[in-house]
Amino acid sequence: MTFATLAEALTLVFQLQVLLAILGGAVYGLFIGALPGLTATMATALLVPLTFYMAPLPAIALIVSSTAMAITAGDIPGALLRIPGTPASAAYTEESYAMTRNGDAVRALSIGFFFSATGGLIGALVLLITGPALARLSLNFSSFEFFWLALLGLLTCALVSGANPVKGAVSLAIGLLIATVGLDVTSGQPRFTFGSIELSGGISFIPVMIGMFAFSEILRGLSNASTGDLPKASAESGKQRPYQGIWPLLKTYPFSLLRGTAIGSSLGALPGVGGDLAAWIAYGISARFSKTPEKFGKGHPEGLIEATSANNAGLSSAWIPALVFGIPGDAVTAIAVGVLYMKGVAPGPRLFVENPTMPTAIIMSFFVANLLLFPLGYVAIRCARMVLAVPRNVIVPMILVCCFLGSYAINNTLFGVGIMLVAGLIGYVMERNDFPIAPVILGLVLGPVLERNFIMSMQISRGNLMGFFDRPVACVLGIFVIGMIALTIFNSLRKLARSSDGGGGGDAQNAFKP
Amino acid sequence: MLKDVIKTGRRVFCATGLALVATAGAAMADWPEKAVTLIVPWSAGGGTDATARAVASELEEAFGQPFNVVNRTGGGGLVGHSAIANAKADGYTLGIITIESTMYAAQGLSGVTPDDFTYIGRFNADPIGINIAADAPYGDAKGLIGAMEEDPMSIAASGANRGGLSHLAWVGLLDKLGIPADQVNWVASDGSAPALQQLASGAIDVVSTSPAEAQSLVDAGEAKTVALISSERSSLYPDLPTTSEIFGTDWSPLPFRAVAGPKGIPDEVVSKVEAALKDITEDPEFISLMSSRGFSVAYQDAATFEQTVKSSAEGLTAAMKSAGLTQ
Amino acid sequence: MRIGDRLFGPLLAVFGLLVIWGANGLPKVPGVRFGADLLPMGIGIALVLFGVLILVAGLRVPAAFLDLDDWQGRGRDGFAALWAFVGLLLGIVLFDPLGFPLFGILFMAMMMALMGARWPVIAVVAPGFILLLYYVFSGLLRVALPAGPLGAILP
Repeated sequence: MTFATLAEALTLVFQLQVLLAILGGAVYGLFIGALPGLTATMATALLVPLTFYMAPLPAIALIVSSTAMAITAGDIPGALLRIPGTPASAAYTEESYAMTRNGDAVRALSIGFFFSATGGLIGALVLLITGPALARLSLNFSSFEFFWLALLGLLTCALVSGANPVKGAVSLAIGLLIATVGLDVTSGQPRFTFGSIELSGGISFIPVMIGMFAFSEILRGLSNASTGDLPKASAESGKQRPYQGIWPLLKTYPFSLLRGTAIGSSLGALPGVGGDLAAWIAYGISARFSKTPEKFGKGHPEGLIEATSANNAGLSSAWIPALVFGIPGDAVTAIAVGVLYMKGVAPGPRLFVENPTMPTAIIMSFFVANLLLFPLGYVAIRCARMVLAVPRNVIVPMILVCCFLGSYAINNTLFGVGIMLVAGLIGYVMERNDFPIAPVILGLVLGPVLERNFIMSMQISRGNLMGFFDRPVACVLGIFVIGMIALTIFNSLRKLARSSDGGGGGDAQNAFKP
Repeated sequence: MLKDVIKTGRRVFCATGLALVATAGAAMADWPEKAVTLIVPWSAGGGTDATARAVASELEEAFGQPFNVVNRTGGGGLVGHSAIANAKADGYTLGIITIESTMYAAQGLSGVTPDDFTYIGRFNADPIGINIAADAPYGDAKGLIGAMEEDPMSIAASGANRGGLSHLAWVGLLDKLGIPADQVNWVASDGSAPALQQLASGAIDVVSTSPAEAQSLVDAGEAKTVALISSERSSLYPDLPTTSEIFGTDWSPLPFRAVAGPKGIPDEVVSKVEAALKDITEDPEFISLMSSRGFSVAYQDAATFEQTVKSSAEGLTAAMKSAGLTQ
Repeated sequence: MRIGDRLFGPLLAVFGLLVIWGANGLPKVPGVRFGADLLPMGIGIALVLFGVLILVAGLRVPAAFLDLDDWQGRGRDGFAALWAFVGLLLGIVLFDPLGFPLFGILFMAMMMALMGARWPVIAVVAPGFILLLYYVFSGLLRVALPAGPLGAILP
């Protein structure tokens, strides 16, 4: 890319119409993302008719900024009410909610917005330089490589499941099991649907997330199981300004930010897998290499920084395979590709050769949208703080109505509400018995990726398991993942041995502690 | 645009007048008096969703009421199609149906049969193409089939779930060419996007999907479309040969997108939407919007379309039987 | 509800067996070695294994078999929790006939009352919040919510 292209792209982006589109999209995205249960996909789909009447660049800029904002704003209900906005944000919802419970809501939200935006900015910068090369690289990934990545994602479960790995593994298995419900791709036949047409569509993760995290938390708050009251703004937190105390964090954890961004940018470019996985793997790696892994899950900023920056960095790279090869990684980019086509801008490598200003301008809009996250986040955090001042007997009924509406709106069906309620009860019983919730969501998200890519690979290699090591990239990934598994098993065995030497096997629970 | 609105408005006005006389002041006389829900059985971002939103926004202009697109996804379209078929037949819930609606019964999936709908009109139909890697040793369709005849299992093909139309189009063609379905290596995937990724990465050999979906990869020099599984050439891709030309087969599964409602919606709704849809498909702006994404516009009125559905259901069921895909 | 490991382990193992049984009944596709039954089968086996592990761990620690004291002595909060579940469950049935505004207001007022909100607060907050959501969703976001009988008087 030349400087002439960059300059040209800049003049394109800094037109009033484009900037207005970015601002409008950002405000709209902020609003949708902050409503519990509404997704970035929905936000984007609703914008499509509007883009019919817009020029190509403002149309895409509108979609770009609204999704970036909706996904980041989805962390607000996650941190305040324990309702994660996307499956990716479920990776660190526990962490930010724990921070809120400690009276640090403003800090949790500040970290979320600041590091999302920074990750997004760095990610956009990386894309600007490596875009087409990254796309070429991502095209070499087949089901064999995707399978290893999904397995790596599952490994992070061991790191998010807290004190008891066996119970964490049970949660993961339950998540994977929920993911198997529905019409099976391999046989074309229903699986565990018990004759229900609604179930043949599978169980979507939004109602499950709302139920297991938010609804169960309300039940818990009303029961004897509650360890305290619902989170309240502590006296100091009330005085705290947004982004206060971010600078020291940036100085303490620069590597978390950079590593998170690197993971997000590289994984995000893998169509269909990257976006959801990046934040989980980033969080897991952060915990694995942290000096203080025991603090994770209790309101510690380190993992939060790494995961949120990975989340937004991955967001922009997800556009690369879509722009270069027309292979959309998720629903949002699929819609965007559709809009591009309608505007006569056909995605493809020719776009980069014949009209490089356009893709450059799109990445620039990402840049501007992420810059906007700072001021808009400031306003959002100030408003969000008020939520915590609402008395308990008002906020709890409000959350319940949002749970109902959010799980209804995802597919416009009351079936979603039923799923939410059942998931809520299951989540309540699980948490009461020390089973962590986050691995359920991980299993739900990764289940189809893992299974489909395994079965596809085996169909291609005609049942030969060594097929997973035939392709060079797959072979490297495979050795890395198997090494990680071996290391994890070795570590827990060593601890097991050590604890039974010392404790004499008095407390079996301790035996599984990392 | 304004001219079209007036034109549509006039047509609608005439239709309303006729309907008024016909139903003599029935309650439905001034349909639509509130928002209409348009169910789409496929997810946001896909081709069906894109066309549905375009149609919805034009219908909205024509009738002056919101047409809200609702994606009811999952189960290979079964959930959404059954939601359309089981909606209240008051004309305020309509849907976009696709060819899959004719296949569930034969696959042994209960819930939707072609008899469960009131057909309103088709607006799009595009054949499926055979796409191979650009550097494949066999350059064209003939070479590909030749390689398959030598060792059918050596060619891995993908494009949809097992029993999906993409699968059926492929094995149906091979069946006609004397290669039985149980010897075909079908890699079941969740739609065409993951299948195209597999093709580009060199893991599989064939993706059967519409040429529009593969266009970017073809432009990138990663893939090429060698033939359309059809008996007629496409107006959008006039240079692509058809399998009927190459092999002399009579196999033309034609995926459609159409507007339909549950059984028993008022006749007046059908005639109003049918007329509006005809106008929409004649609107140059709509046609260029569709062709920009590689979709052709192919209007059929309610009666003709119902015939198309019936005959395609019969043809597909027969093909599924011979391919061993029925339950 | 706290379930002791000695009870939870066997329950999990039985559930795992059910999953294995279910996976066994899934249709096989000729020519496909790893099919639809692979993952469920693996999950079932894992669940049985984990169940045994949890049981073994539970046998080493004396703990209550089953503990149902979650809402004992919680008084009004217990009823609030019950209504949170039953009210929303009723919502699945009543959503279409009552419409979102009416159902929402009734549910929310009841929930607020059970949690001890004062009547003037309820009278303002419940309708205010529900109608706000109603207009945001059906107007701005175009999520079709049933209007119900109140639809006749709402703008």
